[in-house]
Amino acid sequence: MSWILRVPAVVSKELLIEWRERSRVSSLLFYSFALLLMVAFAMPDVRMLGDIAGGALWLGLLLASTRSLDQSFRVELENDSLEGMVLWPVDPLAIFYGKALANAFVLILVASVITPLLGVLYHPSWHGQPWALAAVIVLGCAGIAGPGTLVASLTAQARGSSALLPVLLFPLVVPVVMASARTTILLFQGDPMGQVDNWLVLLLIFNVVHWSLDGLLFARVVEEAG
Amino acid sequence: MNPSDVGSGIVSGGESYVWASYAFSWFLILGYTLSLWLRTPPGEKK
Amino acid sequence: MISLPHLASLPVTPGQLTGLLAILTIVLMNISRGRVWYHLPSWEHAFGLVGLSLLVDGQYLGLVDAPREAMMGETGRIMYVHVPSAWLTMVVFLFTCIFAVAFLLTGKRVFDLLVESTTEVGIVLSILLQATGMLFAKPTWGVYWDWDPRLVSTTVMMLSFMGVLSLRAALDDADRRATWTSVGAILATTSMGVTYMSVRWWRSIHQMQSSPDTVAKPMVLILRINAFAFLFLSVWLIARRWRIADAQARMDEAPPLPPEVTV
Repeated sequence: MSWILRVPAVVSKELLIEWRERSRVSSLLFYSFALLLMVAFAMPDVRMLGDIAGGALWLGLLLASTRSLDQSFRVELENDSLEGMVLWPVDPLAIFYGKALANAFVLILVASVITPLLGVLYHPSWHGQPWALAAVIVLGCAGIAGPGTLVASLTAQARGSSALLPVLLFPLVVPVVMASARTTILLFQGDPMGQVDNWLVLLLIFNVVHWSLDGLLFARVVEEAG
Repeated sequence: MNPSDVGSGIVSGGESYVWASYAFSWFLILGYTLSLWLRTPPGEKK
Repeated sequence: MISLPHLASLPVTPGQLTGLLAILTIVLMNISRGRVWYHLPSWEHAFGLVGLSLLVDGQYLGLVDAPREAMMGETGRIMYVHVPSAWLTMVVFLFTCIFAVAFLLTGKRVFDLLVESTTEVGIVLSILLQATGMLFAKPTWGVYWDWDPRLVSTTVMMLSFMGVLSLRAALDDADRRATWTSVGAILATTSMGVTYMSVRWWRSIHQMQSSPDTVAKPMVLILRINAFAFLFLSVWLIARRWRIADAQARMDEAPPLPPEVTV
């Protein structure tokens, strides 16, 4: 289990790269912001925006995640540094969890910026608990980032990877999008049936399944990636 | 269709849907078999 | 649906006739090519023969013999292609997952090629499932598509396996392609359970699955015959697809020598 000790090192390496390439994170923010505007322009009536706010948030985060995940392994390919890390040797599990945590962190960052913007632009009503919104953002972003990191490692070296990533990722994260959007909508519009807890449990189950299984599969992926 | 079935809650008619789905199945299986045959390299066609 | 005599009252069933004709064709081809008359080109054709005969009889039973369904009337006959394709889609994708795990454990090439063939045949079966499902839904529910848990989760499953095939097509290195396809196939299968559960909550609709207990006796037999027909035909299709993949893999390993240049 000594690989766990390596995880913080990989996370800090990833976040350092993100920090040095601040323009990437900020363009991700602009991208999600522009998407929120575009969704509003595509609606028949601005008064409907409050009802679809929860859905628009998660659609924006999902699309933003495909941009950032695609980058996550590109930087490694540029100078074979993934191979370098495996040879160092860093356990593949540490690489996976480090990268996945960093990806989740970036997504949570984007979410925490655009959620207030969403409140301003879309005027959703609010009936929920702040902690529940925080929980759904953390669990939802982790649910996209976990399988997303694995899928990105598969597609990074394929031809036409930026088109292939969503094709593989979207079917996988259907439960996450469904549960997160539904929870957010319930938090905005009120939850008379008490469904929020069920959805949060589902998100938790999804995260447990994927964060445990995907690390093992990733170990097999990098064995061939060299 | 029996006249007594009218208004009984039984789905009436719809023969064309039955034919469509059977025909679709046959053509799909046939079409896929054909595509396999065309993709088989000459050495394997026995 | 069609007024033809029931299958049991026929001296020879259409399926038996088809099977005999197919056997006759094989024998004639063997004789014309100077082989022993009972030579079978490869083992999977036995499955193909049985599957074809069963399919012809099964479809005859479904169109002619089957009683009108109590609630769905004539449209209930769509069940005899829809339900077997649903069963076989699940079985074939289950085998995709088993082969993928077997490949990751053993690294044997045959499992990788089987992953490729079962994925493709599974996608064909799930297209059949979707299409017959839509044609079933229109007369009974009034719409071609409903956001029903089973509909949505099988569509999502089909999409993820299509993604696996696209990933496979986009990779050139054979070892990498093999491992990564297996990883993708395992991911696609394992996500099924959570997807199904989430769509069920999302729609809060509860419908009973067809099982032999919920279906009347004479219909069960017809369903079983069709299911076995689909099973045998799937084995045949998977084996044929495997032969293509195998030939391709051998060709990639040792490309044919360029023709000698004579000056």
